[in-house]
Order: sequence, then C-alpha cells, then structure tokens
Amino acid sequence: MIHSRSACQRFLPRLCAATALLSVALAGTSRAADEPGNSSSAEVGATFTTVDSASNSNKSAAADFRITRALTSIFGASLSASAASADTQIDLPVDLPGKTVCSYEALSGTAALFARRPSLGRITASYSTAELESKCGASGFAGNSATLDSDGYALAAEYYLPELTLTARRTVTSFGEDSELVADIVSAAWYPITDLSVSASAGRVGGRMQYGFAIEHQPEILGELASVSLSFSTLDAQGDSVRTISLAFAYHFGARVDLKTRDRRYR
Amino acid sequence: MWQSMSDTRIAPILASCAVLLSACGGEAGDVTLPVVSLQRQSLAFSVTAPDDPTPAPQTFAGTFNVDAVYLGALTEGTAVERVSYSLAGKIATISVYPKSPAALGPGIHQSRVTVFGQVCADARCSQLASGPAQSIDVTYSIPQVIRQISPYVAQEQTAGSAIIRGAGFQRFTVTSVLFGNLPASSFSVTGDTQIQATYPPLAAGRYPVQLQVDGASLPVKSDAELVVVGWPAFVTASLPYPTVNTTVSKVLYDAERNAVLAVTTQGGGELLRFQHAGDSWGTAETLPINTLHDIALSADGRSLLAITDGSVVPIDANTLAPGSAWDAPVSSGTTLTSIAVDNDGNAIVTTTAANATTSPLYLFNPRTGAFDTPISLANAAAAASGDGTLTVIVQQDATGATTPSLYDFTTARGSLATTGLSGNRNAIAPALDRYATRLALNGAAVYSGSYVQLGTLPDTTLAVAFSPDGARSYAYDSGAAAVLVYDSASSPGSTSVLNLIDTLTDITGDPGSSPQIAVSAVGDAVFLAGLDTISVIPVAH
Repeated sequence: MIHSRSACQRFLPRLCAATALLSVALAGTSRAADEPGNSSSAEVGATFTTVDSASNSNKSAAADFRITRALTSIFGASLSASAASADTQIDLPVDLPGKTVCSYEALSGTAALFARRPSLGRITASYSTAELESKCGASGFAGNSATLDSDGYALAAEYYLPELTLTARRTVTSFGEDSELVADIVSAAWYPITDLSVSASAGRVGGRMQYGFAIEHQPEILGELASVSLSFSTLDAQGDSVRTISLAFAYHFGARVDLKTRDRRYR
Repeated sequence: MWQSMSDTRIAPILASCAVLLSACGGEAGDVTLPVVSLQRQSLAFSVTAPDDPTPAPQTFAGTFNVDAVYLGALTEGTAVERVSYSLAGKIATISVYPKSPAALGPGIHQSRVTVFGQVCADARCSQLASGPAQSIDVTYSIPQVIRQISPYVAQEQTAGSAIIRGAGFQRFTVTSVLFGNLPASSFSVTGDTQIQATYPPLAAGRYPVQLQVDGASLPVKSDAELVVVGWPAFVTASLPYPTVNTTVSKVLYDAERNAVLAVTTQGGGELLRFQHAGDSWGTAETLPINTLHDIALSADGRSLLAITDGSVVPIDANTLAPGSAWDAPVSSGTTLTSIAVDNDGNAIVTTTAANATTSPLYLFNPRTGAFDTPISLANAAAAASGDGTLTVIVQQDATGATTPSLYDFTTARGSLATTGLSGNRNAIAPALDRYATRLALNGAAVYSGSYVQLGTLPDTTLAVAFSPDGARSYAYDSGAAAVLVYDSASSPGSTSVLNLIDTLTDITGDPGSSPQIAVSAVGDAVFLAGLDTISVIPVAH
C-alpha cells in the first residue's frame, strides 16, 4: 500500500491510459456531441481545504480541471484531474517549533461514463486513480516519506426533481491488494434559485458516519461563467471527529447557463 | 419565484451558511482516530566499542484502533539512523535502525521516535487525518574502550613506554592514564585510537590499564593489562625437540609466560613450547596442527594466532588449547604463509599461490573473524615490530623477472603503502626490533625505521633478529657456524657489513639450512632453532 516510488511513476501511466481510452471514445462519437439534453463543457477550479481533528490540522490547496463530453443525446463522458498540496500539523508528545510535520503532494485523475436525461437523472460509473506522496519531518526531526497509491471505482445515481437533485453514490477505493475503503453517501441538492444549490449529505466512510453540507453559487455578475462553493463535512465514529471545510472556485468554459442547468446538462 | 431572486438576495443565505460552517469547525472531542498502541515504550542499543559493527535494527509492533492507511514516523535525537515500517490494516511493524557507532562516537546517545497513524478523511482519500502520536525513547550506549597495550609485557622495576590502543580517546578529555592505581609518568593522546604512555618502574604483577576522563557518561571499558614480569635468569641450554631432524619455520619468545615456542613441520605441523621456570626449562609441550606455517601472539597476549593452509586458528596462550578456526577465503591452490599482529589487534596474513603470480594479502580482524583483501602480492611474508606499530611485507617473484615492492602497514596510518624499496626478499624472514627502529630484510641488509639502509649482513647469514632496542643484530652465519653479533646502532656505510661485536658459539645440534632466531624481551638471550634443538644463548645487554 505504501510505496517509495515517485507519484508520476505510477500515476501518470494509469491516467494516460484512461485518457487515451476515453479520447478514442470521444473522437469516435464527435458528431453526437452537443446533442439536445446532454452537452459538453469544461471547467477549471481551485479548492482550499482544511481538515481538523483533535490531533492534526491539514491545510491544502488543489487545482483541478474537468472536461465533459456528450457522446450521444444520452451518454457522455468526462475526464478530470487534480493536483493538490497539503501541509499537516500533528500534535506530538514533545515540543516542536512550528510543529510542521507532514506535507503531501497528491495527484488524481478520474474518467467517467454516464447516461443522462436532464429531465430524469443520471447514472455514472467512474474510475479514479490517485497517488499521495507524503513526506514527514520537522525541525530537529528526521522523518519518513512514502507514496500511497489508490484506485477507486464509483457508481452514482442522480434523480432530478424540479428543484431538487437526489444522489446516491458508492465509492470503493483500494490501496494495494488487501485494503480498501468503501464509502456510501446519499445527498440532496436543493436549488432555491437556479444559480444556487444547497446540499446536505450523509453516509458511511470506512465504517464511520460522515455528514456534510455544501452551498454553491454561480453569480450573475460573473456572467454565469464562474461559481463559488463552500462545504463542510464531519466524519464521526465513537466520539472521534474529523472536520473538513472547503472553499472552491470554478470557471466554466463555453455556455453561459444557470447553475442548475449546468449541473444537469453540462457537468 | 426562485428564478427571479437576485444575487443580492442570495447574500444573506451565503452569510448564514458561512456562520454555520464556522460554528461547525469547533474543537472536537478528546479522542481522535487512529490511536496507536506501541508494543515497546523504550529501546536500548549498545555496543562494546565505537568500532563495533552497527547493531541490528530492533523491531516492534504498533496496533491501531482502526485501519490506518499511512504511518508517519519522526525521529528526534542522534541515536537513530532511520525508521522503516510495514503497515497492514491495524498492525504496523516498525523497525528502528541505529546509527553506526563509529559515526556517533562514545557516549550515551538518545533519540525519540514518534509514530502516528493516518486514515482517509474523505470518500476518495484525497485528504488524510492523523491520530495522536505516540513516542518511544531510544538509548544507545557506546563506551570508550581500551583494547590492549603494546608491548603488553614490561620488565620489573623498569620504566618504559607503550602504546594504548582502543577507540574513542578523543571524544572526551583524558586527564590521566592509570596502570593499576599508579598514574603514567606521561602520556599523550596521539589519536582517537591510541595513546602513547610511559609507565614508571613497577613491581611484578598485572596492572589493568584505565583512563580517567572528563565528561564521559559511561565508564571506560578496558580489556588491557600491563604485565610486569621479573628478570629471567637465562643460562646456556639446549631444548631438544621430541622428534629430531625437524624443520622449524618460526621461533617465538613469550615474555609473559617466559616460554619459547617453535613452529615445526613434524607430523604435518606441530607447535612446541618450552617453559622456563627458575633456572631450568621444561620438556616440550606439543600441539599438532595440520599444515601449521606460522604463529604470532595476539596483541593482548591472551592467545596465539596460528596459520594453517587455509585458516587462522586461535590457541589459548596459557593452555595451548585450540579454539574454533576462522577459514580464510582462499581459492584452490592458495595457502596462508605468515601472520604479523599489529598493536590495533588486527593481523596481516600473507599467502602464496601455486598457480598464480600473486595471491591475496589479508587484513584479519580476530574480534570479528573478518578477512579483508586490500591487495594481492607475490609470495609475501610479513613481520611486525615488538610494539606492533610497524609491519613490513616482503615479496618474492618466483621467476625473478621483477623486483616487487616492499610494503608496510603502520597503525598510525592504518593502511598499506609501498615503502620505496623493492626486491625479492622472502628467502629469509624479515626481522624488526621492539620499537620499529631497525629492520632486516632477507638477512642481507639492515635499515632504520625510516628505510635508510644502515649496512649489510654477510651472504652467509641464514637468520637474523634484533635486540629490543635495535642496537644489536643477531645473525646466524653458516660460514661461521655461530650467531654473529653486529652493531646496528651505527652505520658503517650503507653497503658495508655492520661492525661485528661478538661471536656466539654455544650452539647445540644442527642449525640446518633455515634456522630461526629470536631474542628475549629484554635482550638477554638469543634462541636459535635448528633441526634438533633450540639453543638458548645468554647474551650481554
């Protein structure tokens, strides 16, 4: 599960293979693109996240890119990639100047295929691969470094109501041959206005309960080309608690549409 | 209705959410995940000396209360080189590797290894969350050590100088050198591994060598003893072999035990020892050792190191009981030929090859049994000075076509080097005095300790040895059928025969064509080993 190889050595070949497969699919179906009811889009974003527990505090920044392509009026595909950097401070049983302990460099990529009817919902199957390279150390300390490889498979079903999107998602992330993380999350996103979504989620992540809350807004003053989102989740189990807060910005290329339309036709 | 809302109406919603989120971000409970329980609370490493091999890593288990995906290990302090681990679900196996003791030096070194586990903080494991860290203390003890003193035998009521060998002498300030309870007359720390000391006149007995050191956190470990012996009273004697007509390849005087040892070819190899007590000599003790070629006393005098075709055999110097042999990594057709012990306790072992021009020279460590091979030489032979500071290695090109270099090994330098001299010189074993001020090569020429040729010996010389101070050369001369005593304190000219001082004719038996010769520790007797007997010849000193 833990490797000492560089992130690129394992991550890039897998992501490139997935990209190539999907590119072939996208190229072969180019004439079907932008069919009514299922549209292509691209977006770039930046996310700032803090993860806090009683023992540690992570602060990370990530940049991501996603492209979605309609293959037919129903089927579509997407590719996304993300690069993140995090610093973690961990409470140690000794005094440490600064307490800077671990840093992470993470690369991840996801390829997804979906079937969608904007008036009904979407079913998505995706494969993700990620590498998280960690280096721990502090002033006066020698630390270790390692790379954590993971592969993930997800199946998600979304159901579109007029002002509400209901989602159920199962994600299985495996680390090597004998360790995996299963997450089952259900969520509901409400669109009080077409450029604002407020969502709540609940589920189990590796046997621990997770609850989340998020809000995303696509202001008209930005020409409906950018959105900002804020999310919070807490992972609890037997009194343990890990809290995650994220602030994300996204810029959307192409069509100027409201957020609900973007979520249901373009993303 | 909702579609008509403006951005300004959304602001209160966003603000409310922000307040809600910030409220959610308060302190968590006391317990977080994953919590690691370490099998050990402390680790202790220790070695017996700074030049010992690095201790093996110590491994312990850490158990998490939940499956962890990552284990962080931080090391504080000087004792630990690195930490490795493997992680399988809730169980981590953590190995702590100490640093090399040579790199750390003497003292008590400490480290703290801090371990924590991490779990995925979200469904995709794009974030990690850490549990509380646990620490384990590591202590690493490396004592200063005195291994031996060379020469380790001193004469009763006679001041002298010696070299104390060990490790870590420059780590802390040495304030005093003690022989028993008596301080050294003077001393000088000449390196991290050696101290030059002068001892006062001492009564017969055994004197543990110890240091007083400022600032050391561990007592100095000492294995060294200065053995002070009474003046032996040698008279002319003949020590007959159990079997006559035996070729002797080495004769050696053991000053601590007042005994003469001889290596013979009898029965395929035999060690003889004659013990001197009072005014008389005992009969020969015998120890058969197959293919025995050479012997040398270990630097501490506690054992004899015997060379056979393919191994070094330790022999208890008191009981002559052989120990377990160390096999040298010789190839087929190569045999060990000679051994010389340096005052650092290591030995130089030479070899010869039946089917090759050169063969390995080994640096042998009797503490570890390790053979290092720094160089290959042609039919080499080695001899060391009495204080073990200098070993010379001669060579012999079997074809005579080349003149191979003379090498030496000095403990001050700690390595082999060429001397600038060359020639085929192993027909007669090299000889050195007690303090490496004189050496004789091939029984033909005498040099100073800095390889300046002082004079020559007659071509009829078959064996040579020096008085302890190097002032006299004792050479068995086949032409004179006597041991000729030469003045090697002065030079008559580099190509002239040394000045003859005396002729010793009290020889019994047949010396043969390759007799061996040795001198007692104080230079009051010469031991000439021939085919049938060892002649003990008292000499003035």
